[in-house]
Order: sequence, then C-alpha cells, then structure tokens
Amino acid sequence: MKKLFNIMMLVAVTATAALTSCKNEVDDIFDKSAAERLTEGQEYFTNILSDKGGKWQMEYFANANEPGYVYVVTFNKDGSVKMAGNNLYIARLTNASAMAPAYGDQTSLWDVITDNGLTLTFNSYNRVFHLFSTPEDLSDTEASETGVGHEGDYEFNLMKYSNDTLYLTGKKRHIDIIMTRLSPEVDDRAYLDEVNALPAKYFNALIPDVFITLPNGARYQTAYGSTLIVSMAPEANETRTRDQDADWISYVEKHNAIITPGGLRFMEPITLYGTYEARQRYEAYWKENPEATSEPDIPNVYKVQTFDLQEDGSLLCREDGVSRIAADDLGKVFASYKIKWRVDLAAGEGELAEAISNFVSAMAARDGSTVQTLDFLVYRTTRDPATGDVIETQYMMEATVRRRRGGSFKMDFYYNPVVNADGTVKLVFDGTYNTNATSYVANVPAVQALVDAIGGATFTVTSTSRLAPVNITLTSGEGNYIEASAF
Amino acid sequence: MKAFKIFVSALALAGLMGMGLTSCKEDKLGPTIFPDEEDVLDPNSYTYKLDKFLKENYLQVYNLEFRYKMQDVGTDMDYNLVPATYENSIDMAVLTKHLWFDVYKDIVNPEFLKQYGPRIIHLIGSPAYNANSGSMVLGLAEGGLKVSLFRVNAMNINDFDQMNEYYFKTMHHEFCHILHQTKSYPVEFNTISTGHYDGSNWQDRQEGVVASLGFVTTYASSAYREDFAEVMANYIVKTDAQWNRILELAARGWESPSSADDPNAYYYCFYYYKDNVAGDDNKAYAQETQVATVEEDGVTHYYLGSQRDKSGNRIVVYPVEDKDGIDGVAAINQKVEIMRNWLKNEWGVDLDALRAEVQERQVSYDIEELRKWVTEIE
Repeated sequence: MKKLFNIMMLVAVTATAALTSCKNEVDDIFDKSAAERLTEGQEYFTNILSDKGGKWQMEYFANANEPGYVYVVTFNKDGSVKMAGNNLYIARLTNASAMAPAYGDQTSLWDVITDNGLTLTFNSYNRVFHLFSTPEDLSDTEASETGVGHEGDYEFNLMKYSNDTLYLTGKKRHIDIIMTRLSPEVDDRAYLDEVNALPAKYFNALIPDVFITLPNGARYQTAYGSTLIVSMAPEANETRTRDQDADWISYVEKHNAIITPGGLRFMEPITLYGTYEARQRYEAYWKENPEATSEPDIPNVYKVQTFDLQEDGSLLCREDGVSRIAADDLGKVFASYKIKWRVDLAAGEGELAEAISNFVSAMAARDGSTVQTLDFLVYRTTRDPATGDVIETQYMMEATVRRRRGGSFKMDFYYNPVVNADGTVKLVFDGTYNTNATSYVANVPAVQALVDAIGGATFTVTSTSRLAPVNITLTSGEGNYIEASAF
Repeated sequence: MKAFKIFVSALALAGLMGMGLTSCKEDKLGPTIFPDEEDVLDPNSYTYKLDKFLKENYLQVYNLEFRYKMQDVGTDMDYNLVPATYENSIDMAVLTKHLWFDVYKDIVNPEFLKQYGPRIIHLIGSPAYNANSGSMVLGLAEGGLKVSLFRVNAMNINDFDQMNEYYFKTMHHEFCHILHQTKSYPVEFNTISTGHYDGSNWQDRQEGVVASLGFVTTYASSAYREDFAEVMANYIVKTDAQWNRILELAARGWESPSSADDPNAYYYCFYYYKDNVAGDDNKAYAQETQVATVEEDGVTHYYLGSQRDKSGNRIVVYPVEDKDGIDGVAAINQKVEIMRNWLKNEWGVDLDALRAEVQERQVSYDIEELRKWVTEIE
C-alpha cells in the first residue's frame, strides 16, 4: 500500500511539473522592449545634459583620501564637451612642483551609452579631467601609484534626475557624483574662482573652533575644514569623562568633502554619535553582525552627509534637518581666547559708538595723539593643569595710539569676560590698566568714560555668518552698538 | 505486479501529459527588440570628419571598426585605463592606414587584410600596467578579432624611435598574433630557444643578454608566441642599423660580477684589469659607453676611455667570451628564416618586400599631409 501511495505521489508530482512547464511566456511588464527603453533613456539623458545651454556644476570625488573637486562641464549637442576645473593637479600639468591650484579647460567628447545601464561617458581624453583616472604615479606621495593613479572614474551610471540635479555613480569605484545645472551665462573661470574661495570663507582661519552640533545637542569639534579633508572628534570633555583610558586623539577621524555655493557634502555618509554609549552600542553591533545589510536603530547615532548653506551662514544637515555646522555660540566666540577683535572706529551708533568717538577726539585734543586701533583680545589665560583646558581668561581692551611726533604706544585696560546663560557677554573691568594709560585715565575724562561704557554694557553678539563670524556686531540695547572684525 | 502495472501506467500517463502540455506552442522568433537605426553620420557632429574617414577607409573597406572612443567594457577591467585624445586618435588612424593597411594592400593584395585583418582596432590612451611585474602592455590581439593599441596619449609624432617602439612595432606584433592564431607557425621555431624563455622575469633581463640567447627583444624571451611576433615586428620596423645592432649584441658574450642567482645581476660584455695587471683580483667590468674602440692595422683594439696605467699605457679592455653555448646571431637568423618561409608559404607574403615598404614609409611620411585625409573631408 505504501508503494502504491508512493507511485501515486510520483504521478501527481510529474503531472504538476508538466502542467507548470506548459506556459513558456510571461506577461510583459513594460510596454516596450528593454532595448527600446534603453534607447529612450539615452535620448532622455542626452537631452537633459545638453539642453538649456548644457552647462553643469560637477561635484567630483576621485577617491576617499582627496578633497572633492568642482568642474564646470558644458555638454554640446555635437558630442563635444568643455570641461573646466581649477585645482592643484591641473596646475601640475604645466608645473610639476606647483602648490597652488590653477584653472584649466579643454574640449573633448561625451556620450550616453548603455553598456552597464545608462552611462555618461567622457570617452576621449580630457587633460583637465582624466588626470584623475590616468594610471600614472603621483608625484606628491612616497608610495608608487603606477597602474593606479588617483583611481577616479570617468564613466558614471545615471541614477536619477530631479530639479535640475543629476545623481550619478562612478561605474568602477561607485562614488556618488552630483551634477547641478548652471546658467549658460556662467563664466567658467570666474565661477571656479568663486568656488575655490569658498573653503577658506566657510572655514575661516580666524575662527578656529567650528562644531557639528547633533540633534541631541552633542558636538563634534572640527579642524582643517578649509582643506576639505575635515578632521572631527567628539568634544573633548565628553570623551575624557567617559573613556578615561583613551587618548582623545584616537577619536579623531577624517572625512573628505566638497564645497560649493550651495553648501558642503561629504563623499560618503558619516556616522556621528550623540553619546559615548551610542558609539559603544553601534560599534558592538557591527562587530557582532559584520554581514548585516541594514543600519541598527540605535538612539543618538546619526548619519550625516550633505549640509546646505543657510541664510544665517551656518550649514544645516539635509539628512536629519537638525544637525548643523557652525562656529561656537557667538558670545563664546567673542570671548574666545583664540580670537582677536578690532573695532571699526567709524561704525556703530549710540552711547558705545559715541564713547569711542569721544575717546578718539579727546586723545587728539590732549596732545595730538591719533588712536589708530581699538582691539579686544586676551591678555592672559589660566589652564587646568590636569587637562590643559583653558579655565579662565583675562581680556583687555587695547588702544594703539600714535604720538604726534612719531612713535606709538598701547594703552591696555583689563577686563574679565563673562558669558551669560542667554549668550550675552559682559566685560567686567577689574580696575587695572597698564602704565601707558595711567596719565590719560587721570587727565582725559573720555578715556575713563570709554572704559566704563564698555564695562557697563551687556553685549548681544550677532554676525552675518554663524559659520565664519569674522565680522560681529556688539549691541547693548536698542540703537547702541559697535562693530568689530577678527584679525 | 499490480503495483508495477500501476507504476507503468502512471508513468505513461505522466509522460503523455508532459508531452502534450509542454509542446503546446511552437516558439517563433519575433521582431528584433532593437530599434531600427540608420548608420548615417551626422555632419554636425564634432567627430564627423574622423568618423567619415574611418567609415570610408576601415569599415567599408575592411569591415573594421576603428574604435577611438573608449569603451572600457571592451578592455580588461582589472586595468585602470583612460581614453585616447581625439587629436592623437586622428594621427593614429591615418598612420595605421599608411603604415599597416596600405602596406599590405600594396605588397600583398587589397583582399589580404579584408580577409585576415582584425575586425576592431581599439585605441587606449594609457598603458596597461602590470603592477606585480612592473611591466606595461602596449598592445593586445584578442582571438584574431581585435587589436588594442595602448599608450596613445604619450605618442610623440616627432620621436621616430618612440613611435616605432610603442606603436608601429606593436601593430605588426599584434597582427602577427592574428596570423598565427589563424594558421599555426612551424613548431620548429619553438625548439630554437627552448629552455631559455622566462615568462615571469623577462622584464628584468637585459637586451644584450637575451640577444646572445637568440631573442630580438627581452619581451621575445617571455614565451614562444611572443618570440615569434617580436621577430616579425622587429624585423619589419627596425632600420638596418637597428637590426644590425641586435645582431651585434647577439654575437657578444656576457657575464656579471654578481652571482647567477642574483635577480638584480647586471651583465657586461667588456672587462679589463685594473692598472693592466691581469688576475682575478684586478678584474673589473666596463660599460660599452666606457670603451674606446681603435682600429690599428686592421685589428680592433678596445681601451677604457682615455685612462692609463701607472706606466702610461692605455688600459686594455677585452670582450667577454661568449660562453652561453648559443650562437645568438644564428638563432635570430634562423627564426627570421622560419618567419620568412612561413609568410611566403602560408600567406603568400614576401617578408623582405614588406619590410622594405614599411621602412620606406616610416622615414618618408609627412604627418601634416596624412592628417589632411581627415581634416579636408567635406
């Protein structure tokens, strides 16, 4: 009986197999063949690239160890393309020891092909662009890169087009490339000059402390942003408190980025941690699940990549809409021991500006002296012997005065800066000044008046840029302000 | 038994069902999925003149696609390669016609390359570096169909030796591969230098040393087939002076002060004794460039530049005795003879006539005139 059962099962299985193998076609999912759709895709992207003047900004990354490079690419309908760039390696085409970027452009060929999906190819050599793909040794490294070069792609899979923005992926290295349409009126060289000036503008050397503030309020301190190889590490206090054994420097990581007029983009999404525990959990997850294909859902772990320039000059993370790159709170920036400020003697309004004006006039009336500059800067710092952190700062207002008969001297007045919880700053005069100031304090009332006006003010600090506040306004009540610049 | 019958019946039933149902529809080929495209060149295209030249001189004549726009899927993706420049592509297109295709058309017959020539020539701007060996690929012939020419961006049209070494020679080398991939060459060729090929370290060998072993280049010493292609290519493109230089090196003896096992051993073909005092302790080696040659009474004397010994006599230099047991000159000549006969008998090609024609064209072409083939297209 068991045999009979087996036989009947065999019949059933065989019949089922026969029945299921009968229909040898499946319904078409698409109206057109794959080849037709590819051809249509070719035409679609060819037109997108070459229409409206065909001029694009390309955000190009060759590899993970170099900054991103901006190219202005003009696609012509005759199959030619003008590629313009302004970077160090273009400079080295004509001067091997060049250390500064240089502009270069050349016309070559482009096409949209279908060899690996829809692909944008720059298929004839362009010396200002393919230099990142040519497999020659790099002169500025000790290692031999012969056969490898920069490893940059020159063929890109066309992934998406939206709002005059093309999203591409390098065919071989799989690095994301973004192209944004430019007006055909844009002058390539002038535009690239402007772009090249942005890193130093965004990450101004006069403002050394720039932070990435995460949604939970934790901060990463950044450095070398203007090199576009951005160093970053959690603020020292957090790490030191929670990981006594680790050297803070071990938490420093570097990420390459590109800067455009629209903001900053890291080559890849980077993971930042809002707490020490979040980092521990995240790293443990990947250690235990090295083959996992999705990110774990761990609170206070953030993925950031693209930061858009805001009206206040800060850079806001596009991915979470909260993380922000900016300088420290402006009150702290003004009180920072790392930055010196020079007052614009001709700017400002109200009592503060009047006190400065009176001071300048009184000095001239006294003995023909000319007040050349009026600065706020740190006079002395006190550090924590254990950590090296600055725990106390003594500030001074310093006037540089030129004597009528030549030569100059400095009058220093000492203050202790206090940054209030609301961000305002008060400079508390400690009653002391240097010997140069002694006779003027005693004999020129406007000097004491200025010292008192500064000491009596509570400053609200504002700036047109939260990222690089090199120009600030110090306001103490409505209509009462002075202006200063970092130097 | 009953169960067996049921089993047979069931199988028959299943078989019938299977036959009936799986053969229910005859497959017919539908229309092509590829859109109809006319092969018409666009006069407004940036590359129209070159494309028209290539179409009229390669595609229509030889059924050959001269591919100057980089297609990396047509290359070994393990290499990092870049496209050729458009300007150099024009030069390579006209030179390839002038120095390769037109030569065979004139010396053999117009049909020869139509029948045996490659179907694709692919220009690539950079070399293909072999990072492990430190060598670079200059050309590839794949399956008798495609010839890839590398390093096109580095071509210097005014440097005859460079053009010869990197491009003209490569053309004939790769075409030789196509020919022997179509009709085998005599196995006798492989026996001439058996035991002296080194596929791994050929790039570290010296020209003179391999010549004395019977190889026309170091690359020829890498494998039988490369040896064969190198003989043909070098014999065709090398001037008499260059070819005789190979034979001159082949006639010399070579030795190294280093151990034979030393991979970095440098070999010399001249030696001398310090202060002209013979003895192993005084033996030293001289580069060829250090040696002054003086003809006296019909005898050639070699001296170490203008150096003199303590007695004021010139330091005498001696040629290294050829002790490798191989007559390099005879081996090279034997290889050329096999090549000559093979081309004559199998292909009806006169190697020496081919060489003479190439030599004439190599030294007489005017690149500006050749470029007009493209630039003056209407």
